[in-house]
Amino acid sequence: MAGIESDADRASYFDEAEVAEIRGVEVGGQFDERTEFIDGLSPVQVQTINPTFMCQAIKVPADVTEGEPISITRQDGTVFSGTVVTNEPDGFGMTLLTLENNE
Amino acid sequence: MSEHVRKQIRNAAKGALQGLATTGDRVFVSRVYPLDSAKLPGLLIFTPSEDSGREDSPTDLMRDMTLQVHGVVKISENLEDELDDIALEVEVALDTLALAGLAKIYHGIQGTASTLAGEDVDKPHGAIAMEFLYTYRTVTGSPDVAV
Repeated sequence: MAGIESDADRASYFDEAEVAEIRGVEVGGQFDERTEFIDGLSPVQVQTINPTFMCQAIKVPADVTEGEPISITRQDGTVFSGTVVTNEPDGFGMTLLTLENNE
Repeated sequence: MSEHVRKQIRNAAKGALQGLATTGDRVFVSRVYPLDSAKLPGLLIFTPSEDSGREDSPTDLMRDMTLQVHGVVKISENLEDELDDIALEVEVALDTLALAGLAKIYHGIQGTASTLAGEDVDKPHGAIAMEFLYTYRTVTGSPDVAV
């Protein structure tokens, strides 16, 4: 029988990842700032980013809502300051926070 | 080298729209590349269409040219308010310019449309599209001179 992934297994994914702070609690996770292009807004595309933070679902308050402040220290030491837009648990122990940039 | 009247009108509009309070010097004519955050809020200028035909003279051409101005912003709150601020500034600037000497008739703004977007991006974005109509006359063989 295959082993079942534990919380400890999932936590190990983020041993050297970025650290977010939500409600004063530090959460390890993976911070992405992927480039996105918006179509249909104007005759030319608008280039922007899509900031997301993936972490263990149990590390995020269950009642986190839109507008919740979050800061994330990037691996280069700079800090992202924003708010949560959506909390999207995958049902397998991880969750994806989509974020809005306050900068 | 002389310039088509359409180009002259486009460039005159660009001059009039430079330095507005909201969009500053971020005014782009006939741009095809994406706009990044450093270029927002900004304005895009295009002249995508013109209807032309002879009227009253075998040599004179009357032309109805559409000039489009698109304002694009990135902001968290009051997105439509900022778009309307841009519209106010653009309309006043182009109404003031009116392109006397180039356009025989400046018809003013013909329509406005707003678009909002915010899914899977770092901030809500919005755009306002404005269309202005100009009528000008040229003589056959001289599209660079408005008469």
